[in-house]
Amino acid sequence: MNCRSAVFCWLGLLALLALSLLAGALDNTALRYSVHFICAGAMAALIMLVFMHLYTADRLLRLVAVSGLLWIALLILLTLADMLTR
Amino acid sequence: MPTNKSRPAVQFDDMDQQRHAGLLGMWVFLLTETLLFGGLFAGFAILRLQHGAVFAEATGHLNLPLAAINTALLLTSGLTMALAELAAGARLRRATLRWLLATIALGTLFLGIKGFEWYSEFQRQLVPVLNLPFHYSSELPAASGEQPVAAVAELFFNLYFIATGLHALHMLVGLGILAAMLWLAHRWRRPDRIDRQLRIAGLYWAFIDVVWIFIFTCFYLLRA
Repeated sequence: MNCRSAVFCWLGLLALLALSLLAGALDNTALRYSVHFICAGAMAALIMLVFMHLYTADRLLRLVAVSGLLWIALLILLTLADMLTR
Repeated sequence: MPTNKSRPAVQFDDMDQQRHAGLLGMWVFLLTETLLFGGLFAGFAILRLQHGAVFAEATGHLNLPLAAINTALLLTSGLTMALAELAAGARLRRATLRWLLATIALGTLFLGIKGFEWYSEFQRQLVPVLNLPFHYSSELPAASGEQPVAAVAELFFNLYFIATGLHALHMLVGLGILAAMLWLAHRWRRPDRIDRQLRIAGLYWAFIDVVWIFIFTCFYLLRA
């Protein structure tokens, strides 16, 4: 990470926040919720890649980070699968 | 006398291994934190699916503009923390101190705004904890055979205060770590050590940002 990439990352985060807030004006609830979650996911990815240095980290640190994402994805997806198929 | 010479601790072969072990340790700790908050978000997902209409209406009782400002402040504190790390890496003491102070100021401002928000919710009797009075007015009709709307709204506010309270607790811990780093940077005895420790503290601070983004999305944005 250098100064330039940190500032660009911050600008990108603010743009995604603005996009997520603007999406609040959409009438279609499913589309609105989708935009909110896509923006949140993109913001989290930007922070992890740049501010948490995953972009330049070695394989072991990336593996640890990905395993964390995998656990949380399993937790949420299996919970949703159970709830939505009852 | 301050020295820039860096020698690894006895259990490490070299400085690279020590630096790597520190970062790996913090990442493993953050995984346990992910599971802590993950349980909370899974609980939210279940209740949101069961009581979608009431949760969407209850979300409208929260202050979205203040939360959006707070999100922007926290994202900006992520930038200032990254700049503090870069300054420490370049062995620039004054810049490190300046960016650390900016991060602490932004984090404190976030907590101040959050405290104001909680107080306004307390005034509107929307805090269902510590036996405080909870009064929720709704325009939704109560469906027969289901829980009363106010009881479901209480569930929403319980989750909201647990999530934001737990996040604020992590912010306080983060601010404590940053205050300790500020003191170490002020003394500037071992710049190489400060550089390593700031990288680790930066991971924790960025993690708090990530958690807030999902709290903001789930509790403030999913409106009716």
